[in-house]
Amino acid sequence: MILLGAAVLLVGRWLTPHTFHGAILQSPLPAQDFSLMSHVGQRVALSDLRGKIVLLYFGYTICPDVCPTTLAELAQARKLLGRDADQVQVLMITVDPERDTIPVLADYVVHFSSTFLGLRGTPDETAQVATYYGIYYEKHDSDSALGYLVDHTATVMVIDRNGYLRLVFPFGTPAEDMASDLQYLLRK
Amino acid sequence: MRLTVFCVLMGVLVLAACATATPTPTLAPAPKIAVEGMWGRPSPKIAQAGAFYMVIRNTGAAADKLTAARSSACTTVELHESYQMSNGTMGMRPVTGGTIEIPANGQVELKVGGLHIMCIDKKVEFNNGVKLPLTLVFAKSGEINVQVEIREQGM
Amino acid sequence: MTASVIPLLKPTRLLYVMIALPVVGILAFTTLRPIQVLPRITLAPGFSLVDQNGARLTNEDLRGRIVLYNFTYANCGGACPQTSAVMRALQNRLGEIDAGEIPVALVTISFDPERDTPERLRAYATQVGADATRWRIATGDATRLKYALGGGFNLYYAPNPDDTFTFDPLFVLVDGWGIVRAYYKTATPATDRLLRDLRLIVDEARNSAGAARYAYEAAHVFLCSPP
Repeated sequence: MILLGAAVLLVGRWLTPHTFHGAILQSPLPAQDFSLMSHVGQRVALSDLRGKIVLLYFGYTICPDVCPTTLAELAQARKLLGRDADQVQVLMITVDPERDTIPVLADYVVHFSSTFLGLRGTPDETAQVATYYGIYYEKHDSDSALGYLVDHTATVMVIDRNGYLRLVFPFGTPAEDMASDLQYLLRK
Repeated sequence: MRLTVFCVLMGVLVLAACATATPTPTLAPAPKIAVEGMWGRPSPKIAQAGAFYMVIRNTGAAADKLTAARSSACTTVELHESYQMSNGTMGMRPVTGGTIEIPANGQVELKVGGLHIMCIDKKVEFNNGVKLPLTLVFAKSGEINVQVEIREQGM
Repeated sequence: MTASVIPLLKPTRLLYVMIALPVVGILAFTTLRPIQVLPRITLAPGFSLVDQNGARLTNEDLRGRIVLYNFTYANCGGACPQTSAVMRALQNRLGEIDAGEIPVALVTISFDPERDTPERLRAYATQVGADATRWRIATGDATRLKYALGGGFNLYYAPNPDDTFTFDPLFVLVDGWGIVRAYYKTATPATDRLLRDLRLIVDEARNSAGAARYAYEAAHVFLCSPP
């Protein structure tokens, strides 16, 4: 009986399609390429990363609540993939290039994972990339000792191994859910 | 005569007793604050600020307000909140009015993506396992000292 | 695996299972079949504009709403009045979809920020009969517009020496997630078609909670798009 139950579960799992936790996209064209300076001092283009799944996040280092939470979840999701982790590249593009210089970015992203890449564009390059990926960001003055703060879209974009935008995770997607979706994309 | 004095004195004492006793039932209800689950995420050395999270419970019959906080680990401590502008955009701002209301017989959760205490210009490194002192200042309950544990979330 | 499973089933049970399977299959098919979805094509761009009343309009303000965009400039003649007539007709028929908690918005973006000041956009709004609560007309910084319209919405537009523009007609339908669901590369898409597509997204958003969500997500994986 137990064996039958296990078999039904297995067959059931095999028959039901994977339910994505993020919103799945059916992009007919590869995502727009970009090339930005990375924290290791070399320019990195999205197209250099073909063959890997790219997790793209826009944030800034002075953001102490939302951004570290997302980056920690991304690091955890990568860990959950085990040996497949090497096939996933996390990119954080700063929306505050004025304050997030390359050395600042380098120290910041590496804290979460030595494999993460921090990217910084000129204000104009940043605007162009962020606009394309639907990222709204705007500085606003605050009374805080931190100076100005930046409101920004806090979603995570998933670009598949062929360079197509495949998934969007809203803020707060647990690492387990992201890992489950990534696992599915890696198996395909 | 003595009896009269005695009686008067007794009467005064009784009255005095009554005077102090009667207001007891109408004495202003007081808040009773307990703070638990204090934690903060390990953060990069370069990160200027780090957030502290916790649950503030009030089992008293009166509301209280968290008005400020300070720590020897931070140059400045501010009360902040992250807010969701929509499905995806997050913003952050110092809390409106500068205080966090703790309702009577209720609790306020300072959590990721919501209210939090912001430690600005860290004086120490936020490494895993470190415990940092934090003083919370309440309008009625006065100062409460707690320790914030630096650790990964959900551990 | 199967060899060890089959002997555990008594012949009568096996018969029940064999009868039940196609019945369940047919039921599932008939219940799931009406689910049609528009493909999730790509992310709509981020932008920060100023509308006909001088109010800020960002893509984030529009999140959670289903938005039909079109693109023009106030001084446009030619086929432009026909295009704005489509938007007006749609505005007048939005009640038919009864979006309720899932509001539908119309947004016209001008790619002529130099001339299209809020005053001018207001005059244009009056001219085309835009109800400001439903239909917003906006423009913004020229460079950022180029990124959002050219790069993001794939719109071709170029200024001519005589203050007019050459551009390809385009309508874009975006869902509450900020994802492009349809492009209409014509100056005059049929109002019925637009209404049908809007209704598909409204239904999807309304049913995106609970068990129906799985059916919708499956529809996306297998892409059951309407003809």
